[in-house]
Amino acid sequence: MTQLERNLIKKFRDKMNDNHHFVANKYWNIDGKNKWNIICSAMDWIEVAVDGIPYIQLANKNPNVASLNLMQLICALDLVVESVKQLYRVFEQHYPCGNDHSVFQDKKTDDDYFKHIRAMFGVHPVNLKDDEERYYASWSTPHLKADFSVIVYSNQVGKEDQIYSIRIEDLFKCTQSRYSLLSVLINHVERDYEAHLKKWKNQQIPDCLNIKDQINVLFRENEQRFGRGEAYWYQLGQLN
Amino acid sequence: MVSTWTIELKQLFDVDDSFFDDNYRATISAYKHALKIVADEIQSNLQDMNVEELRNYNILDPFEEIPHSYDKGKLLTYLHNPESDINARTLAEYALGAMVKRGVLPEEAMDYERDELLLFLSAWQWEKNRRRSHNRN
Repeated sequence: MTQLERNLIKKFRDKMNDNHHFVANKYWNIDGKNKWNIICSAMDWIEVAVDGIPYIQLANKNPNVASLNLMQLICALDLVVESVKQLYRVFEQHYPCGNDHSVFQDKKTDDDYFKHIRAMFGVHPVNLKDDEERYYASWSTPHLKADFSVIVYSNQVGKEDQIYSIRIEDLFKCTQSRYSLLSVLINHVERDYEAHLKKWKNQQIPDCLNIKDQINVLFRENEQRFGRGEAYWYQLGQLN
Repeated sequence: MVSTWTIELKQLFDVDDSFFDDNYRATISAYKHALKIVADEIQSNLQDMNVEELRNYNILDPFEEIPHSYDKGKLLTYLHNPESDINARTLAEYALGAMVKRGVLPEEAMDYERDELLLFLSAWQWEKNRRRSHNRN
């Protein structure tokens, strides 16, 4: 089965923890909200999905097990997409795939279509709705069309059943294009850190007449420049 | 987060050097100067946003070289805690006496109290560490 490249999430995590925990110090309190926690959660679940997806076995003799495994795959891929969207929100970057139709080529955007697939193929199969109508999906099967299909029944008497099919390749293609956006965020964080360094290099630390005042000033500067507990926090604590 | 062994080193700069014997005055003055060098190095690195190992870090905990012992703990606890009660002071005095008797600390330490004692011991130990390090090299 196709995989998502593991090195990218590792590189992303390294960047989040790099530079004296610059990201954590900046995002732990943004207007009273701890956005570092969102970053951590997103990173964790991307890693869980990327690591676990290769072990999902879509081909199983038992069709019920195969159905559940497909649901697991779709949920894992969706987790990656949702996490990337959350990260774009936290870093206040424009999410470039919001109006993308290139994979599923449907009137719905690719992200909305993916949600629709997720609902039909296991997360909400007994409670689907589309405007006024309600629908219900069968279990998924590899024996109808494309890679997997469900039959969708309407709640309206006499309305014909419909077959919805998916190709695993399309799911990966959609997910991969969102997953690769982590590179953009890595570069954004690096630029942000460089701007932070430049700003504080240009800010002169005031000179003090005596060492006691100097240590107090340095404590404050250390916190502003690198955060509590970072850089020389411990050494200044010993001098304080 | 501040170490529980925080040495109020900046308070030691209020201690008048003339309080000490001639033998130790130069060492104490040099020790204070060395502390200032550490503070200046931190300032310089923070100004450049360049966090790297301090060249003179070992000055900040000169007692690290003395092996851990019950006496050392009692003495340093008293010296670093301005709110210590009479019991803590008594235990510290016994501990100081025991360490002097064992040759771990100099006899002259018995002449001083509190801030003067802390400054004296810190400077004395720092000088000893420096000489030991110089001899190793």
